[in-house]
Amino acid sequence: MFTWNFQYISKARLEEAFHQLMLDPLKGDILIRIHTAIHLENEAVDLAKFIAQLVPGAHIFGTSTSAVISWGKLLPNQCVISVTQMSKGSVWTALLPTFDENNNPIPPEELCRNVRAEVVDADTKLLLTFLTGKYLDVYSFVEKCNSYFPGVQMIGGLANTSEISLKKFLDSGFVFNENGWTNKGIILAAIGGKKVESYSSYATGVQVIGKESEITDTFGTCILSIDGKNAAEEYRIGIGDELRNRPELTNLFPYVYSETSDIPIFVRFSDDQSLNDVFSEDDPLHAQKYASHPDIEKYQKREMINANHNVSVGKRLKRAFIYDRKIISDNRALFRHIENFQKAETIFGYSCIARSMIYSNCVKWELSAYENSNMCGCITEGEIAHVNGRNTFANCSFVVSVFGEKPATQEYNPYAFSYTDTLVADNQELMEYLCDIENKFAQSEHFTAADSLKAFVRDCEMKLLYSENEDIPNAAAMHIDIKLKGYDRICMINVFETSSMESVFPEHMIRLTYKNYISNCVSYARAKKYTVYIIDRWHIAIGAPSYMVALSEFVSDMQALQKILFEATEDYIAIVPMFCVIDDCTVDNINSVYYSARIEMMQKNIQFYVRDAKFGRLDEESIRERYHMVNVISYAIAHDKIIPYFQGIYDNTEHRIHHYESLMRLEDENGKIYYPGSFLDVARSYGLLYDSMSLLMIQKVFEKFKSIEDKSVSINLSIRDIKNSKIIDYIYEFLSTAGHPENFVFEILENEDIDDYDEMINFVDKIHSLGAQISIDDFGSGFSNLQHIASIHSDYLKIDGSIIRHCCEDKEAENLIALMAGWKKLSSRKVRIIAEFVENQAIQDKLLSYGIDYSQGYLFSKPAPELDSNEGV
Amino acid sequence: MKRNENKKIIGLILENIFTDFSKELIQSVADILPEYKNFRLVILAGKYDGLEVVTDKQRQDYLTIYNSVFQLDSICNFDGLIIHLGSMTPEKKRRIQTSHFENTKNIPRVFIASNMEGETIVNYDNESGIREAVNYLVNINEFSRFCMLGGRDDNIDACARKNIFIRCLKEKQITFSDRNYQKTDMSDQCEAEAEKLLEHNPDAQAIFCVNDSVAKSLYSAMRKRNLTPGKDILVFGFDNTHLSGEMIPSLSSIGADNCSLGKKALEVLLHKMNGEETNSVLIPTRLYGRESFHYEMYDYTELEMMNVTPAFIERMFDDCFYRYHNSYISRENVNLKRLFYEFISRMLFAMKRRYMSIESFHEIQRMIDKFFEKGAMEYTDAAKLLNSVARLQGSINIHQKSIAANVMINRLFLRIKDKAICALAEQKTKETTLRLEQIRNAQEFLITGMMPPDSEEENTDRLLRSLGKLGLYNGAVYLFETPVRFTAGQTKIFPETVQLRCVMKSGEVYFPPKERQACSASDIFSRNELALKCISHVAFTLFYGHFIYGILLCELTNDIYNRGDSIALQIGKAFYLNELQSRIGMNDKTKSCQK
Repeated sequence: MFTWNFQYISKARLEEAFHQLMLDPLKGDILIRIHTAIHLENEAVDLAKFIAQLVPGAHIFGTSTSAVISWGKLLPNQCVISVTQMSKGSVWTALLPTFDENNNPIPPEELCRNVRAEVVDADTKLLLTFLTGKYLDVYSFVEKCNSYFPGVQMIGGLANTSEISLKKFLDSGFVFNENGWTNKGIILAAIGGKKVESYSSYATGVQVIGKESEITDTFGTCILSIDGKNAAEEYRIGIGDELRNRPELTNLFPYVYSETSDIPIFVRFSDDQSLNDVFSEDDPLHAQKYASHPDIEKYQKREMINANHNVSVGKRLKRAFIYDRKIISDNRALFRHIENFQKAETIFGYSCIARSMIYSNCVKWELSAYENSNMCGCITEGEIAHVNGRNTFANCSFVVSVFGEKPATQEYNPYAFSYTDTLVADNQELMEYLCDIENKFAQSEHFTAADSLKAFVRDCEMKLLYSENEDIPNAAAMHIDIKLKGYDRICMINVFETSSMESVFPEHMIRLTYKNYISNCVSYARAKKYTVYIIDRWHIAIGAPSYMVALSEFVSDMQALQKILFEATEDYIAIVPMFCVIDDCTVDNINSVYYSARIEMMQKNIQFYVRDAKFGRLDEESIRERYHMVNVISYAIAHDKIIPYFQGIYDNTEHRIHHYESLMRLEDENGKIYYPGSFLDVARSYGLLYDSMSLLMIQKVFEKFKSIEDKSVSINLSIRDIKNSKIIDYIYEFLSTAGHPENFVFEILENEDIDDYDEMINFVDKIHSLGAQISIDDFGSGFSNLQHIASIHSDYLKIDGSIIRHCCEDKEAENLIALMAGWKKLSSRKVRIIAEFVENQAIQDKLLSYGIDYSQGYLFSKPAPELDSNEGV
Repeated sequence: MKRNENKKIIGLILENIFTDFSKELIQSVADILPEYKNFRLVILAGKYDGLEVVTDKQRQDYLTIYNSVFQLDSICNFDGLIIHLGSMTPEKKRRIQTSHFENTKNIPRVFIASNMEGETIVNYDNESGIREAVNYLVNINEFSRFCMLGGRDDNIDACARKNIFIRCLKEKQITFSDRNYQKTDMSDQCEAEAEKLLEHNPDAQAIFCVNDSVAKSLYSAMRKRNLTPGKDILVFGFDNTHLSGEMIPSLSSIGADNCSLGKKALEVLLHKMNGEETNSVLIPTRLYGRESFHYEMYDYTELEMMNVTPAFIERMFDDCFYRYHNSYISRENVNLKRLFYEFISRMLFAMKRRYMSIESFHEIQRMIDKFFEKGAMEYTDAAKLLNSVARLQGSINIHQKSIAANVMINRLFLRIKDKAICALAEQKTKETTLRLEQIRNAQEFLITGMMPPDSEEENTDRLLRSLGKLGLYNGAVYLFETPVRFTAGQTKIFPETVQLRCVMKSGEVYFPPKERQACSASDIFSRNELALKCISHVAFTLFYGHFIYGILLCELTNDIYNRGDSIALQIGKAFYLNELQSRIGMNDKTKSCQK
């Protein structure tokens, strides 16, 4: 067996394709299915005739539809032609009338007999069946088939057309073959053979709720009363009054027949028609209905619920709703069976229009599992499904048959199932609404439900499958492309502050601007063969795979597009589209990368940004190192292993150690000493660790020096410490009781991000008022704001070590020292200058020539845990 | 002083820069380096001077001065060294261990293909490839008359290959006598030796060449005798260099299987620089079959093709574009491997499904064009590609089920071949155009150096300003305060401070201000001024006659391998002329004064 699908483009192309396939009916029966959404009745027949000429002897099976399924993809408004050539098996087709010459519907039993006589034999395994909407006994016909030809699996449904109405079931669908068409008929294709095996099943997603009730009165397809109450009114109350404006809501709330608990049966709700409008009393077909309801009000408009088949009194019903998680689990179960079927040579798949109207992603999503398979089919208005060994008529289902003559596999895409986020997210609002409705219903507060519904429906509108941007894929499609097609270069385009636009400009201007914006993006991207996705209103994504486009090309194309969008603003509202190109993205990281990039773009006010999704990620080694450091720090805090070291600062005029700088060291379990360079950054990123460390360090230094009269000490503080009230209070309290507060110098790091100078000045003043001193550390290392430095009344300035270290070779470094020495002379306040990193005599000589007050460094004293005042003297 | 603290400098020291082996080695290190951030590669390449006692004193002096570039490794601060001095004689080894490397003892270093005791060495596992070739020839072709064009006796690899070859033959009970062996200097200039071998062995069935260059000589010798490699005598070489694919008929060669020498050496060196323990590494080799000796590692089976598994197509890609997985492929470029998968899988699916639509035909065509446009041919050679494509096409044609659909597939295969050949032709045309342009520019440079100055600008600056004409794009020139005169036996040539006279960034020449030119010789490779984007440099000594003027540092490009030393010579010569000119000019002045 062999199956090939192609999209109809032209007769010439079709001829070419058939030429390639080299079909020969002598080698086996050929079934050619045509599902068309683009041909009128006669055109369709013409096409069928053309094919019959090309492939004489082929069995042609044609239906109308609104959208086709080809190679597992949904294509609205297309025509698909699917060829299946059997090896040994047989194909029988027939197009039979469902109405007799007097235009009376043929009773289901008789239809069953006709079908059996025409196409079914002992070897028949699968019966592809399409009816037209006019035949209302379809439910009972399918039920009866089970007894007329048991064991034959059926698949198919009611042919629909591209005209879709939410108010009533249309009966404009037709079936055809090369000999003609009819909208009052049934078309059949029976596939059989000794070796043929098939498996048919379905997925729906219906969750049953509520109690069982019984149909107590019907009028053809119309359910008049349930449990004696007005059926239509009960139904409306159950859903909310919004139903009057939004008839598509009925798609969410089907009934199920109790005996087949998860096969949904839809009803259409209408409130502007009378019985006579729907069932004209002039039509002899309806005579019997009026006869059985002699007293019924025929002409007054009334609320009605209609099924797409005749319903009968005594059937037991339950209420139900379509539930996304059920859709997923149903599809999983269906897929598992299909996947494990041995002879998967050909797959037929048919899905219901109802679900695609309210669940925009549902059909696309469930098909994505079969994206590379040869699944072909179309959208129908009701399905014939094979459920637990029985054939039944259903709505809102996705029915699949897989069959073959010998073992074969198809390309499946099971990944689709691990990726259901879009589906779930898409339906989240729906779920919330359903819960809300259920609650209200339980409390019998019917009438307030309407308001919540209104908002929901508006949101849903954009997401409908057949929306105005019908042919532009959405975020779900983008995610699938990223994962399956390797689209890893994505450019996010977004326009912000559209709400401010809305407050000033009239709506039509905005709509015009929006349309122009979208069409510019779409036409540019298409010309460059990129794919465009609409993520949200104003939010577009353009994607390309890295195997086709180099990053530099992609970026320059996107820059060109941005330019176009800027230029096109003459007749429209001026917009600023923000472009963010994300490279190497995956479905997992794209959102987080985009959000962080967006924040950065906002902060820095940039409109074009290129971001590597993997950039900035730490390698494994660094991560391990980081966690090791966290352990060391925690250990040190817990075990009192924060050790102050002291380095003497040499007085260049008095030639002795003037005071000490306290430096933090950590010791680990093995006695290894750690320097701030290795732990400070880690500690800072774990804020609390840093705070505890700082406080412990300050406490230790205070402890050591509080009873020493003749030695002073400096302690490093960061802006974080100054903002920490616990530390500050401790310092203030200590100083106010200290015997010699003047012995304590607080070194503030100049290169820290000081955002609040007022706070800093307050601290400095307070320290001075308590009698202690201030030093500014690492002066000249950051981009010093001299004005701020001048406003802080510091007692010492410590020149950054990197300047001192190079002052002998680097003239510029020397100039900086000269500059600071000069500034000291000009300043009215008494500031003393300290140079750190004084490593050799050459440096010291240079410093002395500029009259630097103090020197700190290995030349004089090395940091040590104990004080040694003799060093360097 | 303006040393970039974060950048680590790795030195790659080689005997030669222009041989195919060196080129591949350098390229394989340079290609993989961008994967590791903050590294700069500096290549110090000399010229082989150990062949015989050179009687020509002039030549000897030239080589000695040229090789003074090796002194830089001990002067400059390298963070790691990769050393390939080819075949080291005991004499040379002693020199390396004592004086030459005295100052670099503590620098982590890795040797390539050497037998230094106690050092970390990365080398080919010569045996696996040779054994594969011998086994195939003896078992499948039932050959018994083998010959070998060997290498220098001082080259340990050459000796190892000879011994392994003889051992493998012995195991197969095939005799191999001195008559079957001929030694060469391992260059492509050993046609005479090849002829000798052919003369002694008129009935030879297969000849193993110690490297690809030698095979090139053998080809010429065979052509003279009207013998065709691959038809009359099977020939295979070693190293699997680019040369092997470019020869006609293309040469089968033994090469690294999945990791190049350079890539491995760099990996080992980086481990060593991190203070980790490292051991010597042998890299497995395999035989790459081409026209001179048909041999295939893989066959394309029907089952694999029908299943269209990604693993199968990937293997096909790796086999065909064998240089791809050893190269550093920036994410920013087009992912050729994936692209190859995309179009090959579509073609295979079309075969499986018996149908290809016009749309997908065009789509695949677009992909194929893109594939070659983005440089696929850099990773394979024409012979290998055409052969692989022909085999795949052959298999598809056998298993196809629809002739009509297969017409499309065959048209696509045709396109692949067309595009591959076009890409090669384009490359060649480009090279020719480039060469012509270079000649013109070099002339311009000469003129600049020749004509007397027309402005106040210092002569040297004027010369440096026209460096771009020599084809340099990124680089730097360091000059000594005064030229150093070389005297024989001088061990320390470079002064401690040098002047950074100019920097070239993207073809623009920048002159650092006078006060920032002075720089310690140890920092010449780590200066911040060097172009950031350029991570691999080659160092050349600038000299003319016995005068050494300074050091030229230029970006590693395809061009530098062949032209680098002549560019350096040109500049040296220009400086020399410049000086001469100014001296004459002074004489003129003094003369006029006297008048």
